[in-house]
Amino acid sequence: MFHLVRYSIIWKVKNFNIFFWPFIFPIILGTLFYIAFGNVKEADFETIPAAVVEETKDSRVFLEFLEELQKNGTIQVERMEAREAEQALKEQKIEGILYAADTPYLKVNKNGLSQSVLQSILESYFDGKKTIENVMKNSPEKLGTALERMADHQNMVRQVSLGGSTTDGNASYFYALVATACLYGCFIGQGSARWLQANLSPLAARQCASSMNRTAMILTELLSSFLLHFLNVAVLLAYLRWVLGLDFQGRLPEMLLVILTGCVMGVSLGILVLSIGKWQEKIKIGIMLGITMTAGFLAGLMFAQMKYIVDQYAPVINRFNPAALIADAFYCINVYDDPSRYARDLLTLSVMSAAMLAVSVLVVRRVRYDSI
Amino acid sequence: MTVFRGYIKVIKSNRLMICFYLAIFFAFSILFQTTAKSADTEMYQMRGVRIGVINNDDGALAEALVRYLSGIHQITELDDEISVLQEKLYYRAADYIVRIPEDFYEKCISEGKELEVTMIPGSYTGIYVDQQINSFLNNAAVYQKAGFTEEETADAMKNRENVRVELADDKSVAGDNKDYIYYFRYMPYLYLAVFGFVLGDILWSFQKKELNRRMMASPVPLRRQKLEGMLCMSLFGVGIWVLLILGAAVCYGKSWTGSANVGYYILNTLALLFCTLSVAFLAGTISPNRDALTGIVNILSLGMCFLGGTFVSLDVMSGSIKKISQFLPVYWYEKANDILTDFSVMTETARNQVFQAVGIQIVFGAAFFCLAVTAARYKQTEG
Repeated sequence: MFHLVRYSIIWKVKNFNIFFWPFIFPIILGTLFYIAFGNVKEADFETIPAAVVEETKDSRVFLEFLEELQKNGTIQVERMEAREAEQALKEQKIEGILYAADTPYLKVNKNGLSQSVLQSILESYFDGKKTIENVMKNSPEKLGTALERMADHQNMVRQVSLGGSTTDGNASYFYALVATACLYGCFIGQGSARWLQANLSPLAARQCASSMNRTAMILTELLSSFLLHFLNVAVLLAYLRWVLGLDFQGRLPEMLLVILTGCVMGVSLGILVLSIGKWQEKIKIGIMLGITMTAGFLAGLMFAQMKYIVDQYAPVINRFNPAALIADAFYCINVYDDPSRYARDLLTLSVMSAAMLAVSVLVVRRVRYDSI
Repeated sequence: MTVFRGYIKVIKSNRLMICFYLAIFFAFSILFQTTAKSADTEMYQMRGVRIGVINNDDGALAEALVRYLSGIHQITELDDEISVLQEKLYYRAADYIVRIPEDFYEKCISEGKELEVTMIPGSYTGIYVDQQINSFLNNAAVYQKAGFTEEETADAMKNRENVRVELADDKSVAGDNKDYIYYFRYMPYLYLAVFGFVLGDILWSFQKKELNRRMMASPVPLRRQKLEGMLCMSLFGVGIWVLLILGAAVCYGKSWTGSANVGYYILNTLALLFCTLSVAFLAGTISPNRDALTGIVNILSLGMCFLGGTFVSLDVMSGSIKKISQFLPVYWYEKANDILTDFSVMTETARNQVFQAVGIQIVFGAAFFCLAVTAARYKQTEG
C-alpha cells in the first residue's frame, strides 16, 4: 500500500489548488502578517515634543519641573514665542503647548495619548503644589522633610510578570493562521473524496472500476491526505518558529500533536462536505471556503480580539469552532500553560473529526452506479 | 457593441462574488468603526485606559488610589486568579493591572515597597499609567513624611485641582475621530479583490484560443474590440466607484459630504481606481490559468493591503517596512488618506503632500497599464 500512498501524494502535489491553498497561501499570509505587525509589540514609547511659552516672569518652579521631566525622556520641551508655538502646533510638529502662566495650562489640538500624557504631567505638577500647600497649612514644622521627600521623586511601581510566556497579543493572529491552515486541509480532503467518487470525475470512475480493494483505496487516500497536510502545516510551523522567530516557542511535540489533530479535522471536513449532498462541486468549494473563513475569523485571523469577544458573549461557538480550538490549544502551550484546557481542545477536535469521517463513510459506502 | 455586451455578460456572471466582497467591505468598515473609540471633536478628553485592579486592602488610601484612577480610566475590579488575568492582558481586555496588597499604606508608603503592576511590555499606555500612579504614591509619601495619617493622606488627596486644557481654535486639525476613516481605509482591498477577480475573469474568458481566433477573424476591427473592452472595464470600475462614493454619502451624511476635504477624498479614490484597474488588467494578462489568477489576485491584494497600511495602520509600522511600502501604490493612497484625516482644512504643506500622493498613484497606474499592454501584445504574438 506504501506505493499507493506515494503516488497519491505525488498527484496531489501536482494539483495547483491542493498545493497552493493548504501550503503556499498560509506561508505567504504568515509572511505578510509578520511584515505588517509581527514586530510591533505596541507602538514604541517616543518622547513627546511640546513647546513651553512663558507668560509670566515668575515661572521658575514650573520650568524646573519640566526640566526634570525632560531628563527622564518623557517629553522634549522647547521654549518658543506664543505665535511660533501656535504655528508648530498647527503643523503638528509638537503635541501641545504648555503655558508657564500664574496658573500653568495646556493647549492641544486633538484628543490622543500624547496629549493625555501632557495633561497628566500638568496634573502631577498641580498635585505636588497642592501637597506642599497642605503640608504648609497643617504641619509647617515638617515642611523641610516634606520638601526633601518631594525632591526625591522615586519610582514606586514595579513591573511583575503574570507567569505566562508572552503577552504579545499579535501572536494570536499567527495561532489563528495555523488553525486556518489546518482547516485548509479540506481542499486536500475534497480532492481525495473526488478521487474516490466515480460520479465526480472520469479518473475517479476509472479508479473505481479497477480491481483494487475499496477499503485499501479509501485508507490510501486518508493516509496520504493526513500525511501531506501534516507536512504542509509542519513546514508552516517551522517557518513561523525558526525563520520568523515568532511566539511558537513552547514544547514542540505538543504543538505537533495539535497540528496533527487539526489537519485530521481539516481533511475530514473536506471529505464530509464533498460526500454529502448532490450540489455542484463549485458550490461545495464555496461552502468549504465559507466554513474555513468564518471559523478563522471567529478565531481571530482578521481581528485578534475576536476570539476573546466570542468567548465573552457566545462561548459555546468557540467550544465547537475547530479553528478556535486549535488556536486555543496553541495559546495553552505558548502563552499560559493549561494542560486540562489543552486536553479538552484536542479531545473535542478528535471527536468532531471521527464524527465527520463516520458520516462520510456512511454516506459513500456501498455506492453502486448503474451508469455514469 | 457586440464585444461590449460580451464583457457585460461575464461581469453579470460574477455578480454574486461582487456582492460578497461588497458585503465583506461594509461589514468590516462597520465592525472597526464601532469598535474604534469615538471621541467628541468639540471637547478635549483625557485618554482612558482599561485598568484591572486587584484590591486586597480595605484601607482609606487604597480606596483613594482606586478613586483617583477611576476618575481618569475605566476600572474593573478583578479576582487574583492568574489565568484570568493573563487572558485579559493577552486579549487586551485590560491594558494594565494593579495589584494593591494587604496593608497597602504600611507596605508601600511607610516601608517604601514598590506597588506591583503588570502591563503589556513596552506599551505607551502602560508608561502613561505608571507615571500617574507614581505621582500619586510619591505625593502620599510626602504626606506621610509630614506626619499625616493614612486617613488624613487619603482625605488630603481627595480634592484635586482641575487642570485647564484648551483645545486649539484651529479648524485645520481634525484628529483620528471621524466615522469614515475605516470606510476609506479598506477601499483598496475591495478595489483590488473585485477588479482583480472580475477583470481577470473577463480577460480569461476572451483569451480562450478559439474565441480569440474567432474574434480576430470578425469584421469588427481589432482596435474597436479593444476599445469596447476598455470602455466596459472602465465603466465597471467607475460604477463600483460611484457605488462606494454614494455609500459614503449615505452612511456618513453631512459629516463626510459637508467636510472641506470631500473633493480630496474623491480625487484620491479616483487615482486609486485607475491604479487598481491597471493592476487588475496586469494580473489578468499575466496569469497562465484561472487557478493561478485566483492565487495572484489574492497575493497582490493581501500583500499590497498589508504592506500599504490598509489592514495595519502606517503609524504602527516600522520605518524599514514603510520604506519598502513606498514602492506600492496603496501606501500613497493611505498616506493621502491619513493626511485628510489629520487636517479638517488643508494647509498648503498638507495639500501638496496629498497632490504628491495622488500623482504617484497615477504614475504607478500608468506604469502597470503599460506593463499590461506589453504583456498582452507579447501573449498575442505567442498565440
